[in-house]
Amino acid sequence: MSCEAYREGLSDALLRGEAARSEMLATHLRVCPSCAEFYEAQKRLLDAMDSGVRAMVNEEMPASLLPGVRARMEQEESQRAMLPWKIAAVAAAGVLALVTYPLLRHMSRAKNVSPMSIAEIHPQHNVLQSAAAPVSTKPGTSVLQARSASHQHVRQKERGKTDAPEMQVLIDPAEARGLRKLAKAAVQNPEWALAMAHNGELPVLPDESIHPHEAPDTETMPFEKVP
Amino acid sequence: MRELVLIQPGRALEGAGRELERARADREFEARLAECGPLAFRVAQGVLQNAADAEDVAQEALLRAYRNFARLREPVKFRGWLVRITFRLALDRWRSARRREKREAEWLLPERRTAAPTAEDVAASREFQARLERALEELPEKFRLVLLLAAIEGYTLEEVAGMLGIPVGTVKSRLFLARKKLLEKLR
Repeated sequence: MSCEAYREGLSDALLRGEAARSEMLATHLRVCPSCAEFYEAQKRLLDAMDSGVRAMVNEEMPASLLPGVRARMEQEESQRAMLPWKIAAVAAAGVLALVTYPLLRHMSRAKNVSPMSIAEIHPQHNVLQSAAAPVSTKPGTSVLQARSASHQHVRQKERGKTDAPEMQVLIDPAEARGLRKLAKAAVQNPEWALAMAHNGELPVLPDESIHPHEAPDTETMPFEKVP
Repeated sequence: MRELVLIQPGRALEGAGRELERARADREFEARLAECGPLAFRVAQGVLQNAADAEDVAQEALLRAYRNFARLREPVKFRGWLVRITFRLALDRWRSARRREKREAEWLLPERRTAAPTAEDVAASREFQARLERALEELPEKFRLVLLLAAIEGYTLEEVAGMLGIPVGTVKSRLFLARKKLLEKLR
């Protein structure tokens, strides 16, 4: 058997702790100085390795380790005890938000109704058209909504109530105010609105401050005949 | 006039039973903590070679064990689980530390690198330690864990086998191969 094979066997026997028990290896070591030297070197290296590994793992545990674990356990326990309360608080906040949000939204809409929806004409009072805000003239499209110049697209309130397609126009706020007044007047005076829509001429608005029949001694006559 | 209080005896007993059970589990865990705390620390130390990091990792592992104590009450099961989780956490920590060191080393100026040791014997010993650590790091995980557990004082190979849930013969063969590979790397 060659020295190389002996050395291989020596290493394995050393690792198993059986080198000293092998008669054949002991005989070879006695007659081969280089293998004996190799054996000693391997033995020293293995001892150093084993003691190095042992030194690595057998360090004393720090005294702070177990108290640290206990402290973290307690912290976790207290957090766990608080958990149902936290869940309850989150749930309550959610319910509160669900209840208050529609309410707040409704209130905010009520506040902002004038700048947002400027004019509305309902089907029975039809028809108002504006050059500045052209809208569909189809009979079914009865609702005109003018929007503020902040250029926000607001969902039409009447969606779902009517089959009419949604109409939205963006106009200047000043024009919107004018349109609103016009729409109000049209609602109050449907005949006037109708006449305006059909003739394109602006009739004289009836002056509500004049009540000719209230004073029997007052003569009424057309405006053109007034001297 | 006597005051009467309405109680629900079933519920009261149930609550008391739960409290008792909890107290017993806490006592049991406390006993396991005292028994296995050092083991967790040593496994972490074997991987990380740094007491502060090993303490952190051991704490984390023990805390996880506490969270899962309901299904880990059997002592052998507990020890095995703790060893594996500690080893895994320590490896994760070691890998991230390695990545950080690598990044820092790339930015480190040459003059700021650690100076060579002056005393030859210290240098030799440190050099060997560093080589050993490197060789250990290169070992496959299953060999490394067996080697570390077998090196921990107070645990026999049978106990190591019990912790890892493998036969003693497998522990012995893994230990042999681990030491052989280590020896080859150190040669």
